[in-house]
Amino acid sequence: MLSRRKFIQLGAGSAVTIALSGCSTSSKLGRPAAPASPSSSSSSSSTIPQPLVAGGQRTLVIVQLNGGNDGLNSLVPADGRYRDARPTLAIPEAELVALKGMNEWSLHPQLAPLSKYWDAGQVNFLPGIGFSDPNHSHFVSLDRWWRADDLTAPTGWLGRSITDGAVKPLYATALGSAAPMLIGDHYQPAVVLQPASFTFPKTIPGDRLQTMTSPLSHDPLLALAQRSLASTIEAVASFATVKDSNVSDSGGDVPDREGGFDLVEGLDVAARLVIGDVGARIVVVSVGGFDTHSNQLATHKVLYDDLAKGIDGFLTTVAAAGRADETLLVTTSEFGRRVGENASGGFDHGAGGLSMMFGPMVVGGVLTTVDLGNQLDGDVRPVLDPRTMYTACLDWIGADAAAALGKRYDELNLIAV
Amino acid sequence: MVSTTTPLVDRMAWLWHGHFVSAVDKVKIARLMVDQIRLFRRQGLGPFAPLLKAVTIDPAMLVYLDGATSTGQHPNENFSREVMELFALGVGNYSEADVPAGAAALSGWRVRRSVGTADFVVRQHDDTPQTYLGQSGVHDVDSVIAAIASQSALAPFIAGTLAAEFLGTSDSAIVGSLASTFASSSFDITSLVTAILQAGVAGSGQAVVLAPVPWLVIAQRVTGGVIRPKVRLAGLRAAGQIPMSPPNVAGWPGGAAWFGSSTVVARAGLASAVAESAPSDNPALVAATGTDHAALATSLGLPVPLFSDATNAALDAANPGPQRLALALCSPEFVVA
Repeated sequence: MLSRRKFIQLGAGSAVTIALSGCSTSSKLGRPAAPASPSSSSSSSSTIPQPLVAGGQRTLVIVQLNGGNDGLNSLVPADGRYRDARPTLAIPEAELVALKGMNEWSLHPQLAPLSKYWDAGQVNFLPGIGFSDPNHSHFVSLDRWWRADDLTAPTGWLGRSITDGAVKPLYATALGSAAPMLIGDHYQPAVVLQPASFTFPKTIPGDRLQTMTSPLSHDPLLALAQRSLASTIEAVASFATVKDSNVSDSGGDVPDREGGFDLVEGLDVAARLVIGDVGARIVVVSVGGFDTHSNQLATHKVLYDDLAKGIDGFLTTVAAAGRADETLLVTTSEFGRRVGENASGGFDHGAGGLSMMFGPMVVGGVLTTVDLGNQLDGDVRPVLDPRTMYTACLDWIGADAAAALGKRYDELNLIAV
Repeated sequence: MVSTTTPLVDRMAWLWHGHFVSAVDKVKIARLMVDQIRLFRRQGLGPFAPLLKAVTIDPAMLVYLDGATSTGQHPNENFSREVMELFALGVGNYSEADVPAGAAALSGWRVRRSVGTADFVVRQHDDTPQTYLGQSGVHDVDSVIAAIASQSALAPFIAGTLAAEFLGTSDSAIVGSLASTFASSSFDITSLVTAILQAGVAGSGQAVVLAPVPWLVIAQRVTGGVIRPKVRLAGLRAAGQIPMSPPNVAGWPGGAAWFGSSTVVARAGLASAVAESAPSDNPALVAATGTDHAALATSLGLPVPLFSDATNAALDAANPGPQRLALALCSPEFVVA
């Protein structure tokens, strides 16, 4: 409707209007990027109110490795078929980091900082995690992970567990692009791409912007713009209390990482959100770079160094604040990669991947089994439904797993609550 | 894009840049990215099949989706999958077996980075006839493109992509009609764009959320404001959209994702910088110095030259001049077009 006048101008030959009418970039995958319907009048009547967070301060941090992380070169199997399939890209045995008491698996050398959590029984590994009937598309696979395999759902698996619309604006925060998993019927997640500049300019005072947010427009899109402005004003105010004013955004140093931060920086912000008094209970940090079709060995050295240092730094900070017992960190990626290498020094899209869960509450160990003698068309056959891990995560934050996932997935006991 | 004299050409180049995605972080050589944008400017309004062929063997694309290291002996599947899934047909309109078949047929292209060209190297190519998208005998780039162009999914996929972008709609009747026009014109992009604009004139369009880059382009055009490159880059990074750096092969997410808090904050910063740099005789700045907000809406080129009561109240409370202009640039009415 709004663009009608512009199109009329266009018809009259005013080419300039095309540029003015906006180079909007719409979702090309045909899925909603965010719920578009205003939820001011809720259609779903709430049932018995549940405590949002059973454990009070319990927190869940998700580390999303975008692109499809190669699980087999992260947690490396001793199975000889691994080396047979990877004549040039298998990690040399001499470089592997042994896991105490574990003969079947070892760690990539850059992941060495994580072995102490193994020694303490505070990490589990889930090789072969993935949905059955896997899809090699990044975007279909990400959608399945984000929406817990219900591709028709407008909400993400964590967002739909948030049943109270009155939670703090930073309750669920996305550092990076993984916000879709946090979108709920009653909740729009906070999104922070550049922590150091997450503040309004002094030339535009927040109360001037606040005035623009009410009354709400009858136009749903304008109303959505108003509501997002209102929640952003709140989020900025909360975020200011945990920001490290000594840190500046990394800018051009890491152009290949989304949002401009790497995991060391992203998880540092996550740690400050967790230990700060801002009501942040779900934090998702996502980084890209794991789509290693080529040049994987060199790329992984950088990525895994960042991954290990980021997780270790986060867990150390949280423990120093006395919050280790309350904080669960898990890693996800949309799929693993082929068992066999390609000619570009990398691996094409695969199926079963790898998740890791960290924290004193987890059941330690390598909890699933991958059989390289029983592959799925050259891929690691998926052996664990991601919703099993989701059930554990939702249990941990006191959310209703059956409601968020359709039913519970109790195939494996992953945390000892 | 701000100072262009051929807005439609640039508009289409921007569209194809978000569609046939390459990103400089992997391509590494900025010149290859610039050459790719030039390709979009040159062929972005022409027939689709030659555009798709040019994209397939474009040096930046060969690097970005690994065609440059794909050999007949070990074909790399990256481009072969994405050309069907994201560039031409959509999920569900190809089989898993088409992915390796297409990869074999497209193998053998090498990029000469020093000069920025792509060469076909016969000995690195697998010329074995493949069955690909239901066609037999597919063995090289021309037969791959011909097979894709023969698919009934092509017209609705591309028509749907452009309808979402220009009209903000996924209405199946509108997309279906546009797809027929596109197919019957032998996939001529100018014919498709013309039909889309006519549909827009006829009222088939809906409002869309402006992405950060087009929003900034419009803001600079209507205010005459020019901001320092460093400020612009920092702002666009925080907003989540830097040209030539889309987050992944699907491009920017778009739509309501541009209401995310990071984008909202960054937009305010950019709006302030733009407004502060507007020349004093710019009509929008002049209007922002007065109290007639409808005049401000008109000078900003709003389709309906009115602000809401809420926005008017905020403009009333703002200091006249750049602050009021910056607020108007952040207003829902200006962000949604």
